[in-house]
Amino acid sequence: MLKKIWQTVILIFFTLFISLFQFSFISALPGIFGQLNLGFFIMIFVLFFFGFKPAVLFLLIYGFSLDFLSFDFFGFYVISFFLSALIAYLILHNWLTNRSLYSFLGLILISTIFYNFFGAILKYILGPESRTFFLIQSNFWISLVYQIIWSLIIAILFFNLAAGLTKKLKPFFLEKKQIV
Amino acid sequence: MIKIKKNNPILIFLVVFGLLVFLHGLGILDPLENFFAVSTRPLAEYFFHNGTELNKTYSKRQERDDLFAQLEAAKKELALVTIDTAHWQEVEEENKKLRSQLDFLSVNNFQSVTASIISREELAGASSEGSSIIINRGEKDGIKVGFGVVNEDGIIIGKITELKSNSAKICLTTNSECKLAASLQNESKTQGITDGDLGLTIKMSYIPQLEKISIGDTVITSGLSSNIPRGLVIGKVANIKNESNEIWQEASIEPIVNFNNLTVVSVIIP
Repeated sequence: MLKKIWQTVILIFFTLFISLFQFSFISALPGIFGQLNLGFFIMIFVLFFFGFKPAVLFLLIYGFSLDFLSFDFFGFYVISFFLSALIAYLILHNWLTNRSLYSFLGLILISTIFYNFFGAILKYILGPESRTFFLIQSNFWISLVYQIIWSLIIAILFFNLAAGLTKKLKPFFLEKKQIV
Repeated sequence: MIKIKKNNPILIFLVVFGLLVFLHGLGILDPLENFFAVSTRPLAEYFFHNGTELNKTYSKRQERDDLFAQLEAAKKELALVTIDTAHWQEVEEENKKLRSQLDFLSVNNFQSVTASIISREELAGASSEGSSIIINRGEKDGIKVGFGVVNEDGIIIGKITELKSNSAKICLTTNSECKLAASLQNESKTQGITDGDLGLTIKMSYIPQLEKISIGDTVITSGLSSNIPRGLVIGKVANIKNESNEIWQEASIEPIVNFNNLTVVSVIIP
């Protein structure tokens, strides 16, 4: 019981640390490096390997801490993350038959696109009236491309790292058949 | 009959989300939000400082070392000369004492609040429309919406657009939503309005066709914006767009501040 409480506390602090890291450190990095969406990537990673419920718990803590810190309307990050996680879960549940690296890359790609669209639509509807329509903003498309590139790179690194560190993920890789 | 599982993640989300949004709307979460903002401030400052240092290193590597050094020195010198010129002209007009750049705020009798930047508010996927930064001072420190913000040399970098108890959002002068009443330091003291252009440069609009402006003219705040004093340097005219069939001319203003290197700023309290 005590162990479980400690694990929960550590996970909460880890999530808060990630949100602060994203908010202050990554946002200060130049150009393409500033477009790394670490928290979102972790959410999809958790969803893919540990299920929908842990992903929802992660996005609640991560999303609300970003909502506390940022100046976007309250709930913006939580809603965007939740809608993206829901889409990712439906794709994972209904379309992806195995849990290979390729499935993971596909899921990351689709959910990153959905996340950016959800975020932009929410801001366009609920943000200031003077906002330009996001589809004609070059910033939106540049940011989307950068995020996709980052997500795919980190997905490959994380997947291989996770496979190297734990046996749990080994079966997810497609094994090469030896030709006799 | 629809069965709802007790630990259904969607149900958990809806309950927690609804509850927190409701409590936030009532203001009950304010103490928690303030505690979170204050307790995370040192770590946020540390992260931002290190991120900016990496940013500086990255910028430096992109150019040749000696060329970069020369450019930096020239920019610094240009900024100092520009401020100096701007100050002298203002002093001549208003019969006031010469302003030193290093102790800019005290000599001008401006009250100010020094603040550290904690984020660039351009979080990935947040579809930011322009350049904004977040500082670690807010309503509790006497800051109000519309106050001007300067760097350590006294060059205006933007103004306060949104406030929380312990933090404030600043739109940079390159942000399309950051409008400032400006004046050119030419013979006729041409007036206009500046706002950001694609987050990279500044443009000055509503300049009458008959006004004579030239490349290199210094642009300063005109004092017509409420809460922003006159004479703060915005930048220099880099390009002029003048078409005979238009009522107004437009000028591109080159900022003399590298916004990527900012870590500490001062909010001017008029």
